[in-house]
Amino acid sequence: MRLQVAVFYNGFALALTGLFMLVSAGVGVVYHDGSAGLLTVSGLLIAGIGYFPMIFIPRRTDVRLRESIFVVAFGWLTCTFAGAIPFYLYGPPFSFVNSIFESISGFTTTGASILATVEDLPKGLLFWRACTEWLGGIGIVSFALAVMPRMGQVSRPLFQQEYTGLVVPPANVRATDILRGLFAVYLGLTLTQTVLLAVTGMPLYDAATTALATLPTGGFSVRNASLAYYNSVAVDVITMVFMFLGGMNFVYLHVLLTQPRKARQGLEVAALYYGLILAVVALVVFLIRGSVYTNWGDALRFGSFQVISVATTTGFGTADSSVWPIPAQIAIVMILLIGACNGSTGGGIKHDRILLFFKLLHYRFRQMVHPSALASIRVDGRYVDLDAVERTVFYIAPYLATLGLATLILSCIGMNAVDSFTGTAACLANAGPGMGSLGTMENYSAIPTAAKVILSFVMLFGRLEMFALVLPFTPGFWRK
Amino acid sequence: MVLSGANMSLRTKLLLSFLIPSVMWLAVGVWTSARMRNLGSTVEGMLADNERSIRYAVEMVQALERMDSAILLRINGDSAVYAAIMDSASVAYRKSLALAAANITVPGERELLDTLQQLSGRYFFHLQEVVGTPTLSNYNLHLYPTFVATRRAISDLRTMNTEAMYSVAGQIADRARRAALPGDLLMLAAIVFTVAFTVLVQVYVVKPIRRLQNSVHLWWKSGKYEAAQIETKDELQELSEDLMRVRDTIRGKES
Repeated sequence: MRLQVAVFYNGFALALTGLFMLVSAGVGVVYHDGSAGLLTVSGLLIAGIGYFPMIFIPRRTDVRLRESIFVVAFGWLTCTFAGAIPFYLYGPPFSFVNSIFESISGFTTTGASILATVEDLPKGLLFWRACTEWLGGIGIVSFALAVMPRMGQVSRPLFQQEYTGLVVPPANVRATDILRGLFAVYLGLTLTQTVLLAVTGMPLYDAATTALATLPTGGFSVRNASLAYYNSVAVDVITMVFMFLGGMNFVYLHVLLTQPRKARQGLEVAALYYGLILAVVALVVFLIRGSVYTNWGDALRFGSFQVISVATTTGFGTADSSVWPIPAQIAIVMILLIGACNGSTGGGIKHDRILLFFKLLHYRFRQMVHPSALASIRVDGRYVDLDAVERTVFYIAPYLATLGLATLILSCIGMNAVDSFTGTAACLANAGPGMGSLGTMENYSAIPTAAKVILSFVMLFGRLEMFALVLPFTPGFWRK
Repeated sequence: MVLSGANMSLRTKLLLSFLIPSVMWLAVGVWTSARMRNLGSTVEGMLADNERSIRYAVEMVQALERMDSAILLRINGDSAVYAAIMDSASVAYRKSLALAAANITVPGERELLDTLQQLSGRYFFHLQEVVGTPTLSNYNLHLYPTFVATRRAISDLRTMNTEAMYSVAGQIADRARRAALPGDLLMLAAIVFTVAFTVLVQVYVVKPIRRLQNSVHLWWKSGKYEAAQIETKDELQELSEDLMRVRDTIRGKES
């Protein structure tokens, strides 16, 4: 393990984080809301601390696997803590724990907030809050790699710690090119959404912050009532489309946009993603029509928005799903657990794993019935190594174990069963709102401090898919 | 490329090593100073407002008690003393009440003052009744209960503002702690920077110089020159390349 490698790349990630704070300070200056000072000081501190070691340490492109895991884990921890500084400096309602919670929630694109009233905060600080989601969405280390020139072979191992899935970058294409492509898609879609939202009549600041929180499937809004504030069908439809795109595998999306003929790899996962969302939308719309909304139009509008928001683990709200019929709430929680696709900005177990899980189940059943038969698992017409399948599916076990354990701890702290379970599920899937008192129109301000600490870890576990975060803390990781 | 220091000259590297912390110190210093100054004036204002409300409450209680004594003198038949005390006390009371109503600083104070104004109105109404029919039973029936209720409301106003002063003190402590955070971070950063600077200079400046020195020593002793491994592309790399050229020139002359 060469520590200078970790220090160099984390330094760059921190410097970028600081740079975004300075951009947010610019927003504070424009709106003259008093946030420019604290954002400038935080930005200069973070950028300075990050850039300082880069003055001396030469860039290395031969990053090893263990180093890449450490860079990602260390980078996420340092950036989330650094991101909390402007919140803490602002003062109440941001205590130390609240600041860390809000920052982790932003960087992990969870969108769970401790703010009871968002609109009281200065615009510069809210812009920074939206930036944390945008940075976290693409993966802070990957983002650093995308903008760093001449990265060569280093990109692939680092990038693969933040992006996993059945759709991997083609071997003949440099990971740096894929990363830059992803970055271009990410930036392009964010700008497109900003323009489209502004065209609907949404103020430019609201449009930009909403777009910064949509594609990363974050869900931080600058309005207390989330997107329900705008009460606009056009805003709902545009946001739904971009949330949906944010939930797709970005490598697949990039290949689809640049080489559509080669976009066959990933079709099965994409089909499952579309199919499952459509099925749950249909079910929820059917359940809420009559009991909550009197006409099909409203049921379709609010039902589909809520399902897409939860399925992509975004967490925006246009209606309070906590008051919907219980079967609709259960369907929403189930799709929340599955989450988005691998390689997307969303969280959850992911559709890739669900697909492989059912394929593995089918394979095992066939083996029981026909023990001598030669069977295999195929995805998109290609054979997938059984070992790789089991490795991928294995993630479901620690995921559910974390869900169970954190729910138990939260209920011991004094939270009720619905809040404990749905709060943990929403944070683990990086979705944000749960049900009950943590529903779409509620927030995490009233939960105990200890619960905020637990859920902060849960959010990081969910975003880094556990292994990257846990491995550097095991003794075996440091053995030569 | 400015992004990575690998291609920078030693001069730039050393300059940046001092420039970056200096900019950070300057920014933190300016911000903390501005914040502290702002905190001071805010605190001063908040405490002064609370202190004024407390003073008005004390004056109201004093005036109310004087009015109460005056009306008891009136019941006893001492009309001249009653008139003198009542005139000055009622003016003082109304003045303090008006000032308190114009100095709202604490959440809930507006509602409390509305109640106090209603009670005061009722008190003056019953006061006139007792002045018209100055009997002890009339006093006990209406005026005294209103007097007690009004005094309680004034006492609540005083408690509210006293508590607010303590709360302000708590807020000051919290704000001061937050304002000092960048300074604390900078102190920590100063230690980290010092250690990091020492280590980085040792690894990326001193060690390469030693390697070059060893190569030259070896050349001098054995006549063999092996290029020192220099990772950075700065003056040390150039020196290493120059030494190679010198070696090649000497070899060329010898052969």
